Amino acid sequence: MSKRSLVFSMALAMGFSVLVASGSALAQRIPPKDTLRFAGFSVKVLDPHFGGGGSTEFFQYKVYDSLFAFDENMVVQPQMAEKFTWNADKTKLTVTLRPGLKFHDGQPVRAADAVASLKRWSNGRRGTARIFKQFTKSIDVVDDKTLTWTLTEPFGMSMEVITSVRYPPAIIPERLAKTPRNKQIKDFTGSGPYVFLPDEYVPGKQLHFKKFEDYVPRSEPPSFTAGGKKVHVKKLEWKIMKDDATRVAALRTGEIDLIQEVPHALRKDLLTDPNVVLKPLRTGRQGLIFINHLAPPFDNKKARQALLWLISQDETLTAITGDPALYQTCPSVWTCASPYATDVASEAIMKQDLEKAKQLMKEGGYNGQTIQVFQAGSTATFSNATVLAANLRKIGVKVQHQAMNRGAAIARRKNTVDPNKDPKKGWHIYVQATQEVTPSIPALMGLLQGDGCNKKGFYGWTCDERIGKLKVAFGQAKSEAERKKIAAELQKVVYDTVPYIQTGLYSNEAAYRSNVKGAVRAPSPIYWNIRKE
Amino acid sequence: MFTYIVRRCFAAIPVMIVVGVFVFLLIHLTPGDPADILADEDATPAEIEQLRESLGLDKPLHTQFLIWSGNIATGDLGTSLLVSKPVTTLMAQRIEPTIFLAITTLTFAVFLGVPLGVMAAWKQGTWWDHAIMIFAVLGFSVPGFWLGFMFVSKFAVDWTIVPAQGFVSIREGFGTFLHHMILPTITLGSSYMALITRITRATVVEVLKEDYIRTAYAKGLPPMKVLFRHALQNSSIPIVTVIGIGFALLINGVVVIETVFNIPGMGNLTIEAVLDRDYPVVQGVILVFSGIYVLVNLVVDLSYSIFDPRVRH
Repeated sequence: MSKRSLVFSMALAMGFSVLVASGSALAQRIPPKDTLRFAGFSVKVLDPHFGGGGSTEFFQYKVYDSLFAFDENMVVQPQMAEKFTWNADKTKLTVTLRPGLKFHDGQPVRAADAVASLKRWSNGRRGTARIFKQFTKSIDVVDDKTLTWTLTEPFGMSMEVITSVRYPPAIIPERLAKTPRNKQIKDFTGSGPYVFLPDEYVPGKQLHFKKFEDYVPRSEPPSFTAGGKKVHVKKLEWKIMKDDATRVAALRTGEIDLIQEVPHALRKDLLTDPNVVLKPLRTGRQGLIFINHLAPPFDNKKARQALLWLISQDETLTAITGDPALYQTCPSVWTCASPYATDVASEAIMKQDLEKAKQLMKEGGYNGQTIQVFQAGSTATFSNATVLAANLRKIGVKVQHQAMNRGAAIARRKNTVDPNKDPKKGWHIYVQATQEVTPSIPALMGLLQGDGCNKKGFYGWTCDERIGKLKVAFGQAKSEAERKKIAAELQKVVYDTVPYIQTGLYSNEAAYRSNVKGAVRAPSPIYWNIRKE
Repeated sequence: MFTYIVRRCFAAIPVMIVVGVFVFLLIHLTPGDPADILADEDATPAEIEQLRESLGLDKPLHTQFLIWSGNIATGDLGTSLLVSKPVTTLMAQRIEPTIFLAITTLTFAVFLGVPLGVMAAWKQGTWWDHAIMIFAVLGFSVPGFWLGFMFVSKFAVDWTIVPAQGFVSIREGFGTFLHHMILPTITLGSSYMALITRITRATVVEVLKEDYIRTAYAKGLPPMKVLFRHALQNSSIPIVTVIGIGFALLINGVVVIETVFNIPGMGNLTIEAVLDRDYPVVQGVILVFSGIYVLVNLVVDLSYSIFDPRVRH
């Protein structure tokens, strides 16, 4: 063999070896049948009582359990609780824990753990927690399995408050619940269906969980976050992938089993893939347009009302999703699926009328200034803001639309300076989105506030005492009929004073490999009942 | 030589101080702070302010700077405000993919770029030269993120011969490691390689005009020996300088390529920290990157004496 052919043969052999190694490497990338690997967003805060965004809530549903949970009809169901009873005047709730509940460290869940957890949760920065604290006289341990919650006065929404549709009060061991509210816990021992594996945790890369073998699921079928949380996989791997196209590519190659949310723009790539199923696994989102009530022209109610006539939910939702199957227009300021949804006073939001909008803007004192519109985050909020800006231009309003990252946007939205004098710092309109379920209970809608008088209170600075009064009245109503009446009354106020405008519901589908079965739809992605075939 | 190295190391200290002050001011003057990010969407302004206090962000900027620089002096880069882990731990968890990506990219770019540049110079004016230069211009002009997605679409999704994303440590097997590094390396290395190719060509073309090259040919040396032994070695100082300067390009590129290929490295960590206004992490990462850059340039300077003995004197 000549020297040249020897070199050629060696090169061929090396190439073949690399190919073989590649094949075996590819096989290693496919998750095994008892492991569910999914692509999700980054999570910063793992402490369920501390704060953080939707990813913290998502983490919470894996590792922690709560006393109660909502079913798909938004009815409160016992979860860790075996039974609960109210006293005659509805000021004292007695909760008995289910037998057999354990923490991941093997210790039994005691009433003392639940009481300490509720106290820590109520000291947090969440709207529902604030209401819980406001109505709480005391939370007490009766015995190892029994606790009581004593209220300062009867409150009709007390079960909804202690359950909390967003960020429910996670039950953690008492030793951890004693950690001050402004300090994050570092031990993530819960009693939920999955055990967090801290040694495999790399912030920004991955979070791994294993099945909690001692978890005792309820016997009822899963429904939303309530019912039996049965785990059918041994391991759950949460891979953090920031780029949408990367997530989609990884799903198509089988490197991951599931994507929590597929961006609308990339659906087309997956619709034609026979190995992939697209289905919404979490409740939708709702676009919100916040208006700064401090600065002209929107310090005038007529200018704010002009925006109601200006917006077309259909147009906005089409821009966001591109597919009518993925959106729903909604006349109500309350979640359309909630029992309090109503079409009272909704004519303006449901019927676009640019001429009327133009007239109201003029009457509202618009004098040619540039309206500062800004938004942060997803392409959905960008589309929402773009459509709004385009419609404002159609009626002769000058607009500057700025897209920015969340950190910059949050900093700007708390700024009370006049945007007409300082357009770089102030703002007129802030576009954001919230979960579909957030406005499902009027009394607990944290984003709806009327406390913005004297530049204080919630951003947007709506100054309308009717809002606070009606929210309290809703909570204290004696019957469902009365609650519905107050919800309708409050909706009238919202459409009159216009703290913000909802631009309809849209959903992002999850995408998963066709061998993944049993996924349950919920307000946050939950991966119990799910299995791989 | 030892004195020279020590002198250069001391000279790096003021550079690092300037970088430290600049980074600290830049990130603190950017709108938004971690308390805003940590708080819930319906947190009240008073609650956010309490959180700011608990994170120590209510202190005057100069006080925060003094605390931070004092900690740096003792080797403590601080603790992430968001994930509550030491910055050094976060960097230790992320440094491996970035180091290996840098090594494979450098290897790819140098081992392909230098021979291509020499080849283009040797065949100057021929279609070889034109083809290599077109290749180099393309490599330099095509954005890395676009190239990355094209590679993923074709090689990972359509042909399934390489993974679409992720990083596997070399400890888990060299084959698996290499398999995951192929696409990111080529994507990140293409512009770097193009730069080296162009500089190599330009320098070697100049050297090939020298008298000693003509002499080497005249005494009957084979062309390869003339090219690589005489021409390339005498062109090496500008090429090595470009490799050093290109390291900054590499750091820039890592930030994008790590996102495209979902590589959990330092670039990804930087992006997350900047978006979350996680001050200690941003400051720590940039300080370390600057230190590496200073170190690489020191190594480049020292390497001159290897390629050109006159430098030693």
